[in-house]
Amino acid sequence: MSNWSRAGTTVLVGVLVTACSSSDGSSGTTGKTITLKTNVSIQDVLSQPKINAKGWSVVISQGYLSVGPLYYFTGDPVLSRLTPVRRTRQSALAWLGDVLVGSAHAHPGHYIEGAAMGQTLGPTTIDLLGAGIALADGTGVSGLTNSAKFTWQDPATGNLAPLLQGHVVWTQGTATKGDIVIPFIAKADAAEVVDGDQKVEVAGCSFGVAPGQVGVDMDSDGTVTLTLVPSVWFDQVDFSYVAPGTAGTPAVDSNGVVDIAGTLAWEGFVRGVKKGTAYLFSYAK
Amino acid sequence: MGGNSAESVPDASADSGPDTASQPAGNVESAVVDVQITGIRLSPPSSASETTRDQTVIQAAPHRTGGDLLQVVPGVFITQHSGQGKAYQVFYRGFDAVHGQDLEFWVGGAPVNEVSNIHGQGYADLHFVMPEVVSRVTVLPGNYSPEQGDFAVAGTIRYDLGYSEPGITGKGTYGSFGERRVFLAYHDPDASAKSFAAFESQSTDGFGPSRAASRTSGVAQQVFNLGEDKLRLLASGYAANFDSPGVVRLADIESGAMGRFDTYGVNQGGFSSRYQLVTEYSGSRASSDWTLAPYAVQRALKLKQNYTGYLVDPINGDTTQLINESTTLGFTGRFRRAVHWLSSQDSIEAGVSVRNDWISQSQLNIGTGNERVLETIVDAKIRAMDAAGWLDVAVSPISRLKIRAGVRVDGLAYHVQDNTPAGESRADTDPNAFSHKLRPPSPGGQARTAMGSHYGPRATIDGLLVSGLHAMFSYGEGFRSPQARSLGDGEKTPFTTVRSMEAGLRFSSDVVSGSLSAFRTTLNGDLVFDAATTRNEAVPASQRMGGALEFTVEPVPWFMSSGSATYTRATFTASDSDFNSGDKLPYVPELIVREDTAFTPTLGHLWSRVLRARFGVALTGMFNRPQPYGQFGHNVFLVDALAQLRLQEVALGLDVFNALDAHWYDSEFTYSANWNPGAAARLVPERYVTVGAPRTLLMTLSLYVN
Repeated sequence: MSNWSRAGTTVLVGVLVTACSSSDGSSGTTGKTITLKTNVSIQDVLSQPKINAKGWSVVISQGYLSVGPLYYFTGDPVLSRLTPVRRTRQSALAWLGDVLVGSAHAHPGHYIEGAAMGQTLGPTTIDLLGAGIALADGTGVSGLTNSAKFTWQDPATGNLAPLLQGHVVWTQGTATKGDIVIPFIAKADAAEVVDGDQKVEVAGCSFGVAPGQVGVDMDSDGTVTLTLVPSVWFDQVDFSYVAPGTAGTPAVDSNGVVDIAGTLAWEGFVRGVKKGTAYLFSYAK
Repeated sequence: MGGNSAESVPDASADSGPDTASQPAGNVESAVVDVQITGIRLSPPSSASETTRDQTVIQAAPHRTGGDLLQVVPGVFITQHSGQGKAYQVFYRGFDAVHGQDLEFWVGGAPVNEVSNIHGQGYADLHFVMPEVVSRVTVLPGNYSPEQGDFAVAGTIRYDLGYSEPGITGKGTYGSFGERRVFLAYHDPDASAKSFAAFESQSTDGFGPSRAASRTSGVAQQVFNLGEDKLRLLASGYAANFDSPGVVRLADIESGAMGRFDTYGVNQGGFSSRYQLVTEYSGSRASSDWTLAPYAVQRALKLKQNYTGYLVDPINGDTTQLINESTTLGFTGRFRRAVHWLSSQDSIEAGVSVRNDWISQSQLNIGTGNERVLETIVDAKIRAMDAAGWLDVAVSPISRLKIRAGVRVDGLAYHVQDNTPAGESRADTDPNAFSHKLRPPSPGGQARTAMGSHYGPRATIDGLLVSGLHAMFSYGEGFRSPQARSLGDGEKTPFTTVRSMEAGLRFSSDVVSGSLSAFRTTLNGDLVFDAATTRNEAVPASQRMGGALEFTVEPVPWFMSSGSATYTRATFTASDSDFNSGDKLPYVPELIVREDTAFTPTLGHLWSRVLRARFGVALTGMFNRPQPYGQFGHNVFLVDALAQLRLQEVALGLDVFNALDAHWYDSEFTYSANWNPGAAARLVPERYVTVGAPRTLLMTLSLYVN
């Protein structure tokens, strides 16, 4: 194209586009694209003792998690019973009713994700005893978002990936009940955390204005925060199955640490790792 | 209507046969020559912007197929997103007519729109028409004439066929990217220009991978004079095979991750064929005229396409195979009679139109790469009928005022044998298919029938202000028929109801003609293409408001300029979960401009032969193409040109498409897709495009034997 043609076309197009655009430069179609900064935070202070449902006091000394792509959807989460629902367009009275009475939502066992509203694609490995990190920016489209999907990256990537030793989650800590002290390692591979559809993901996590809440109108650029709750992983772990002297307990290593893999304790750990309540998503402008 | 109801007084491209010319010569000084003029009375235009483009305009710029000729219609912009043999996507007056859902097409008296085509309602493939044999393109914007029926949502476009070059014509074309074409035609110089036959064979390697295509077609038309009546016979056949590059992610091109013309390597393309017969019997008497035109059309379309990569099926891919085969039998008939109610110019017309379609269609999910059939999505047989009757009255209460009022009633009936297996449709598993909220699972083997009728009043007021300048107001109510498979058993057929109105000025003189108009069209429901389902899906009610200017200037016989500019704002007037009232419709461009200019000087004589030149240029612009989520698509500005020298029996010409070698995007969509199955899926909608053709040169050698 000659310089004159290019210049003339540019001027003509500029005049026409200016005449036909809306004041904010939008084309005027429904919605808009948005940029989503993405942070990961850890709700629990894993170095502090926390007593689980089986009465064991659990302290984690090391822990790493492989984080894959994150996705956000319009569909209601799998279960949000007794979770206050806040929908931006909901009336105050309706919201108060939900808080006082509580609601059981959506589709136990059959999550329908709906339209994809956002995604963060850059995988990494998280230090569970760290201060949390920022992931690569994600992208999205404006609109009401209610749920999310957490995925594991396999093989893991990032500077901390070697510490996962080929697994997607790896933790080391101590479980104590009375006089029994059990140093342990709890870990899982990608194949061991697949969901009912054989996908390496946890679908139907809550997405709201705060961790644990459901429903937020992503109407502009903002920040999505994935709040990890690792205490959920250990909540149903009965370490008595790996106590010294218990039949079937694996042998300890040279440091006296027992790897709980393959035991009933481990099964409780894996069930916890796959719970949506361990991965809470929220959005703020 | 496919008839010649708007035929003008004889010109180079119209009926100028022996009826008007071949009288015996006598003594020039004293002979009295009887001249008999036959023809059909003009129908008054139904709106200010009703336009006809004859061969002077059609031949100004180069065109490769009959579909390309749509660009001479004021307000039309065409794109091609799936290979050279697929029907164009047509934008017109704020409508994304996709492949024809909002535009009624007739060629030579046969309908082109395909009822309930599985890829798109009203699918209209015009590639079977050779551009050389189109004598006139007539466009009726809106739906103001009772002749206009199903699919005339944005308007009606009619092609009249004719070839006026006397004797035998042979052309050979060779050009960029291995394009080759042979064209052969003949026309008896003593016969009407409507009597001719033509053939073409074309192939191209394409301007990039997966763009090869080939087509072949033949057409013959003959007009017989039967006393005061005429019989026109038209027969044609066409077949095309084509590859398709598919869509590519805009970010992949802009980042340099892939070359501009690269593809994702998925085997896509299609096959198309069409055969048609038209018989038109017409007569004209002192105070009446009539036509009866039965027709038969047989169509076959196969498409293999993949818009979403591996989004829905990360292992096997999302390739689908669509097949649509149809046989159409029908007729149009009308009778018009002069009456003397308010003036001697008054007339009344009654018309009948019947169309029957037998359709067999299927959609399969097939393995990307291995072509293995994975799942049957659609397997249906459809029988559809549309019977219509209309009345059209034109009166002149005073000499400067014409009032035309009419009504059209359509009765539609459907029988659907739906053999689609029971279960969830594929769209239910796609995160961004906006159809997922609409379609229940399809029960297998169910037979469903439905009937309905539509009543559409039409009216036009035409006032003569001064000589050659008319002020006109038009109103009409039309409809678009539904996809037959969407109907429930015993359902009263739900139509998309269209209401249009237009006000404007229409002017004409010996040198210049044109119109300036403002229009508004409302729909009670609309259709937008959904890449996830590869079909058009229902969206809320909408409206279009805009204005159009078009003109043609011919100050001297060797110069012609024809231009147009059309601005339209298309918005939703209702909301659903995906769209808000007041927001613009996605994909519909707001401003379309076009200019065709031709110079045809006689340069002199050489070797006792006339040396003529033809130079033409066409400018096409499309601006402000809204995409979903508040974005804009890329504007388009293209220049096509031609140059030809003809020394009576021999001509050498050069056609240049996209002469400025603009980097442009033919089609743009915003949706979710995943073309890298090993990487993280991209679920948020992104821009996907088909890349427009680069500069293309074609050289043609023509021989004329008379």
